[in-house]
Amino acid sequence: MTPAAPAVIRAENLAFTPAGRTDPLFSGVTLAIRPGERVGIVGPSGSGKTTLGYHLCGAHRLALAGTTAGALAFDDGCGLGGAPPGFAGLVAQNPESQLFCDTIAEEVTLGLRSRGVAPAACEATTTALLARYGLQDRRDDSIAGLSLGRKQLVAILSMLAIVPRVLLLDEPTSYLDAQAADRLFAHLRALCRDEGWVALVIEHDLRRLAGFADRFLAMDGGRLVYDGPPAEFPQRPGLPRRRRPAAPANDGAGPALRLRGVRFAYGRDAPVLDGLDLTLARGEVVALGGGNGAGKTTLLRLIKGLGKPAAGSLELAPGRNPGRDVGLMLQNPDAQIFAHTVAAECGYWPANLGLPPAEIEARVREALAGLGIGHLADRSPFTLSFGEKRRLCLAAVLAGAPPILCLDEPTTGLDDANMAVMAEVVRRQATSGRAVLLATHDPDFAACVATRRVRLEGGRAVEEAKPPGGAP
Amino acid sequence: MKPRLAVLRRAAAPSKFAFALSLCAYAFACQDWRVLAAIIAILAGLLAASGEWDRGVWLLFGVFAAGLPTLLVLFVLGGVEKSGSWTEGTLLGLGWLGLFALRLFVLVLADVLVVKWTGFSDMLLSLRALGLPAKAVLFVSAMVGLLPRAFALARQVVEVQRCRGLAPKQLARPRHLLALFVPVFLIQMRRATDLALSLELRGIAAAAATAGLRPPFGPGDALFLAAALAIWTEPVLNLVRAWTI
Repeated sequence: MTPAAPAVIRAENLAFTPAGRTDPLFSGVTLAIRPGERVGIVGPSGSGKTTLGYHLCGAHRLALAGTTAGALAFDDGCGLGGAPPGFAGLVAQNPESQLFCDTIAEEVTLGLRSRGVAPAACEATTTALLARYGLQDRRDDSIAGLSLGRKQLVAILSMLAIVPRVLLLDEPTSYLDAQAADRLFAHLRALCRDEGWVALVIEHDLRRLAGFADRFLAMDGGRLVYDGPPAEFPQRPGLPRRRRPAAPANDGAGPALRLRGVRFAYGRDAPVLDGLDLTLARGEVVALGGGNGAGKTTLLRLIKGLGKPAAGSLELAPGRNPGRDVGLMLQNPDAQIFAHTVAAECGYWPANLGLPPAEIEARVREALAGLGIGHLADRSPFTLSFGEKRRLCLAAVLAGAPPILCLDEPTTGLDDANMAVMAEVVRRQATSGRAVLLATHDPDFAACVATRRVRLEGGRAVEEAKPPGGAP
Repeated sequence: MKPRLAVLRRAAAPSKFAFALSLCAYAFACQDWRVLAAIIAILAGLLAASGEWDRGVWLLFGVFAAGLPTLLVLFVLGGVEKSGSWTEGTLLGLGWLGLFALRLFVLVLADVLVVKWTGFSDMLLSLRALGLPAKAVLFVSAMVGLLPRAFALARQVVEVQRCRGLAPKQLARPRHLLALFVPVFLIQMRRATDLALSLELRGIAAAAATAGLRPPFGPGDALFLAAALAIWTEPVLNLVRAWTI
């Protein structure tokens, strides 16, 4: 655990070239990581962070197609062919694709059972982990019915349970609420300090990451451009806080959306929303906060008409209908793309609205350019990076020009630059008279764009606060 | 919350497989419709009591009902061919169809029971415990979850498309079907890779001693195995009687 301890991971002039490409995705990476280190891997989207992370935990041979050059060693054994069994754990960006079992407890226990650990020990480990993260009463809950945040947490717990020596977490807090994220980082810190785990965390939230990591590896353009303590890492300016849209003027036209006493439950479960009241005016940006499972996604889905409240009323402005006039961007961009090109994806809604081709083309061009992905119009959306997919999903909603926008975690997977673009787009929508309701765990983003913040707790909007700073 | 009929549900997957297999074989050996009807009632009761009689089970019956007219024609024609008159043939065909339907229900309900009561992880680890190669187990695991995951994904994609203006009736058009199947296939492939990586890191494919994976033998296992043997008591006794006479 001391700085003199031998390195667990050692890379020398490491490079990786994906199959079908001649230029390396990253190259010239030389580093050594010792037991107990907490390493943050940072850099802009597409800089090679995830690919490097997969190499450093020895999962590259299983997950990536391509050629690795240079030297890579785990505990001084050659690691070019991958890490030894049990050496590493990994939680990738999309939690939904890593879950296999029916229930939370089954998922967390699977790794232990597969190693032949005695049932009593499996049970003890699982119970302790679930209790630590407040899931002890939900152990038999179906995973399919969990929120994306809880799914992410379960995916992380299933890897914590197997006690790996190196744990790679790719955007681990993207869907977690602040409380769960803090709890996770505190737990990881203790494991690194007491057990000598190596934690490799890829994260866009540099402020949160700096509070956890004791070392930053910064990638840019496929090169390791910084390797040192977070305190000395050159920080980019954060989101501009003073450019929030002004609070909407009362034009007497009535609210764009009004919810009164809305109640909703999944099946026979306890209600997710219970007596919720909310009003959204034109030109307003309301940031919806609340812990994982608080009902944020459910609320946005109800507004889009993907479910019906069991009680209460949900009213749009006269003449509006949710199918045409509400645009919903869901949380997971991987589950929202289906067309053969980026342009076709973006033009899907305008085409369904029966618009003439020239109008569709103009809308697509404007929406893609507005989010900085105009140059990707002819690419297959499935080949985009996570952040690019996220922006495409928003462009595809904006192309339909709905007067009400519901955005579920719009900043997930975005780096600082792209988050600033996203903030600008949201502000522009509000300025043009659209009503925007966004669910976010990112307080900086909420402070930057929202005219009002609402927190969901126990199925109700229990707290409303003006963001600090006031409208310009 | 403790699941209902926990003793039976917690039995090891091989015991449940043995029970279902025995029941399916017996259904085709048994000629007595009353016995088959009783087995169906018991299986349906167990499913309902465990809270697993859901829309999916009703859907299976719906599929059977949809195919009933074709089966009716086939069985009645078969009956007429065997007998001398239309009336006798129709009755004979209906009798055959009744027996066939009862056997089919036993098969379906026994399989549904095993699937609903066996977690994916139990299935996976049982296969490893049987000594199957790790890669084969990973493949089977991916296949087991393929259909339900593909359906869930397809529903998700349709939902997203509906959010962007797709009218339900448009789904019947080939262009829209293509826009459904291609992404489902691509996303499924990507997810299968991620899942295989996750399972491999969790040691599913590790060359560990498979003996350690063998599930403990509990009261549920004893009940399943006893039931699997008990249903053969009468046929075996009949055989013994015939042999001694």
